[in-house]
Amino acid sequence: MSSGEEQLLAQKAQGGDREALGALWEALTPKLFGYLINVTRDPVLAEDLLQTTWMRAIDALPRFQPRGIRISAWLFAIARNECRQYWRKSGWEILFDPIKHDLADNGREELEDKILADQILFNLSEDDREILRLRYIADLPLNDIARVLNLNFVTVRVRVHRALTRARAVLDSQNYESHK
Amino acid sequence: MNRINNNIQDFFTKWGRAQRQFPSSHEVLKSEILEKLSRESCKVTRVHSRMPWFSVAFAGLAVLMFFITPGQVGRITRVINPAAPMPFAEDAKSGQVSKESAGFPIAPPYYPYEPNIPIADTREFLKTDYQATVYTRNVGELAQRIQTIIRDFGGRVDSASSSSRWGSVSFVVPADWFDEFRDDIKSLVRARFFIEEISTENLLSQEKSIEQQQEQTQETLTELKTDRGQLILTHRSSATSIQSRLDAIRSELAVLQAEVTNNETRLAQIAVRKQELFIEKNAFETRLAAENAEYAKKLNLFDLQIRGVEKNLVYLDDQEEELLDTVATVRGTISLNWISVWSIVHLYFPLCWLSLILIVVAVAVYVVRRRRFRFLI
Repeated sequence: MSSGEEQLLAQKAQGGDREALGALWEALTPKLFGYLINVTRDPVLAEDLLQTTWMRAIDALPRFQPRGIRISAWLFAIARNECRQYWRKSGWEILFDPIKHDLADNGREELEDKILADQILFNLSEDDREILRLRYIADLPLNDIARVLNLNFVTVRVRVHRALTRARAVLDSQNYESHK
Repeated sequence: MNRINNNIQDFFTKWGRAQRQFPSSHEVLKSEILEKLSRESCKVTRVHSRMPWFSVAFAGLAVLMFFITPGQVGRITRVINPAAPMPFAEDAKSGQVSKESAGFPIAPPYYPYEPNIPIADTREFLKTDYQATVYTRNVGELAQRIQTIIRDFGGRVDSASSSSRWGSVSFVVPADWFDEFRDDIKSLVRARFFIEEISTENLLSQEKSIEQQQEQTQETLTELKTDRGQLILTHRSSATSIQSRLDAIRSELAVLQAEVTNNETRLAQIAVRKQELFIEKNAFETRLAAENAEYAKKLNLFDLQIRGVEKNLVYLDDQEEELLDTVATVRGTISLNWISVWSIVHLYFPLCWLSLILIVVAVAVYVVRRRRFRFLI
């Protein structure tokens, strides 16, 4: 979904258009849920957070002013905020556990890639993991990631580059281990 | 594995795509959300004001700070003590402080006569006047401490007054202890809360004037005494001359009276002569009396003048002593002013800085708020 389409649907949804909101749900929920499930490693919790995120978004929708910001970026910012609030309330932080995989995948190759990606992410810092999630699961452009993370565009670009470099380094070290 | 190594970006893109999925209760959640939208759209939503109130408040405060005229932190107190020299006065109308009203007890000129002082005369008779303004939160206690310090240095408190907001102490301390006294006074408060002004004036012109008048008076006294002596001598000479002439007349009269004769002619001659001598004797006696009276009058006048000049000389000595006492002491006034917390802030941060800080805060608040608002509303 392009930025213009998103904006148009957001405006319609602000006017109470159920179909527009339904279209936004269909387009954004997979990304949002994928992001949340990767962050929490808990499908049930991720569903709760997804619901809360959308509820908050609906509450705040009349006050949302696009001004060059995509509604998807706005939703991810709310989701991040909900995660933080949940951790603050529950008093513990979810650690990244590579053992917990979502086994709903069909193909074997995809499962292998998933396991490998989780192993790579496990060896990265939380900052690197977060930026990769937003970049590849949420599919946000760099300037939207910058706004979600409250960072400079250049900083985000550099961080993405560094995260990928580190991921490659982890991958290389794993290749070396497997050859041995 | 090679497939992955070729392009890690593609690998993560594929992985990200695979991660995207609907939740198991997808339809239920969707219907809930849509239902909520229906409910929310029925409500009259009040759009929150986008006015960045904090920024506006800080910016307004900054502008206010910028235009506030930085007035005096405290008021200089006025001390009126008839015994002490008039300490100072503040020009309330113009706000300008002249030399006379700058808080310095300007000593009245000792003599209106200003002698020409030769350059070679390098003597110094320095009169020091001290004026300090102290800003404090506890005026009463500080006034007491200042008086104690003055007395500790062998000084004298001429006047002291204090209230909860202001106070003043006028004093005199020995010049020899002045520097130590200043150090003690300064140590009472921080440097920012203390303003002192010291003025010194060389009283050489006054001293020179006194010296010249002493010299002139001494000369006058000598002259008067000489003239008096001359008068006495002249009088003695005149009186002696008249007295000797009178003695001669009296002798001749005695001889004539003692002469016994029946010669009519001779008797007539004696009578005529005696008549002449009596006239002459009366004339000399009158002259002598006049001489004595004139002498007494002149002598009295000389004595009177001499006493006056001697009195003047004593007065000049007193003046010189007073001048030397003035040089040996320092007169001063310490004003105490209560200072508010706001004024303390002014002392440390002048208004322009405050404005600048507030502007920066306003901008920062605006930027932070703007960024927050965009995402989390």
